[in-house]
Amino acid sequence: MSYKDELKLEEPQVQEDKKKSALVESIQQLGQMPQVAPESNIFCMTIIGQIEGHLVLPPQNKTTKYEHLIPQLVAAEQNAKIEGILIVLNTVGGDVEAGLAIAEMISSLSKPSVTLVLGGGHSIGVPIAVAGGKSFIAETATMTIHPIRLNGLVIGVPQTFEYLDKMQERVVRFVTTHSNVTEAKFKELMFKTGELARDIGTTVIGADAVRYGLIDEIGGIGEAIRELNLAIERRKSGIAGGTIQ
Amino acid sequence: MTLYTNMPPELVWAGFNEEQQSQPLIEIETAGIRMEIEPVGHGRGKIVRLLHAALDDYLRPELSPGQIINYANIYSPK
Repeated sequence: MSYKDELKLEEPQVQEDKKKSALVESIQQLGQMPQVAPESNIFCMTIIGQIEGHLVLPPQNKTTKYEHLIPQLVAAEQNAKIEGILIVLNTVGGDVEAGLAIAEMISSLSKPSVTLVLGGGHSIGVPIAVAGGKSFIAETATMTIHPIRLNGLVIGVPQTFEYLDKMQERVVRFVTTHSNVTEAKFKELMFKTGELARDIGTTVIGADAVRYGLIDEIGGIGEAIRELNLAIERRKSGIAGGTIQ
Repeated sequence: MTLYTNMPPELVWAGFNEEQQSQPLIEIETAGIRMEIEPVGHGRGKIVRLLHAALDDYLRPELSPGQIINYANIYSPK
């Protein structure tokens, strides 16, 4: 038997040992078994609390960290076992850059994605809510649409105004290109006065979000999963059809 | 950085200027995963973020930020 053959024979055993040691290591260090739950072909991503961006927020905030979500989305896109992505939102908004980065990542996934707004999807949560292939909102869920507030130092007034306007335009453009709401309607909702006690803007509740064209349908987890499974089936048959010719 | 939220800023930023961490964050490395953790005592730490890891490790719920990990017997590169 040559040296190479011996190596080949040894390999499965070595791999098995490696697997075992990884398991033991995981138990010793994480204090728990790696997840052995039945594998699902859907990856569920939750976006909760504040979307944390370039600054770490004080500890009373519940935050969603974009540096974790972004590699998660890359992993979900790349992992062959994952066929669809479900994004569940209950967020009060947060960092504009981080929020838009997440929204862009979701909208450019090649795998089917469905978003579901539960509770709330406010401010920068709005572009994320419309980023998926199809969006759902619970009947009682709300979305607050309001202008971006000024924070930070003002050195030049016209420049600051211009900057805020540009930031706002990014959000408006993303939302109007990824949903059925018109720019005029979205801006009308954004600058409405007399609706919110301490801000201008509008709180849109479930059915209204669908009526304005912001969200596709009213629904809960059942509808969202059903839609995602349908989209996965469509994609599979599409790929199969594509290879026949 | 621009915050776009419907939460009042005074609530979001409350305590921002005060000392936030009682202990400095530390880095640990285990099974090819390097992470930043915040010690919470008794050899346990709260995961702050993964610094580098295999892509699929990001999909493991037990490694998501905020999870508690035993780090007493893990090599710390710093």
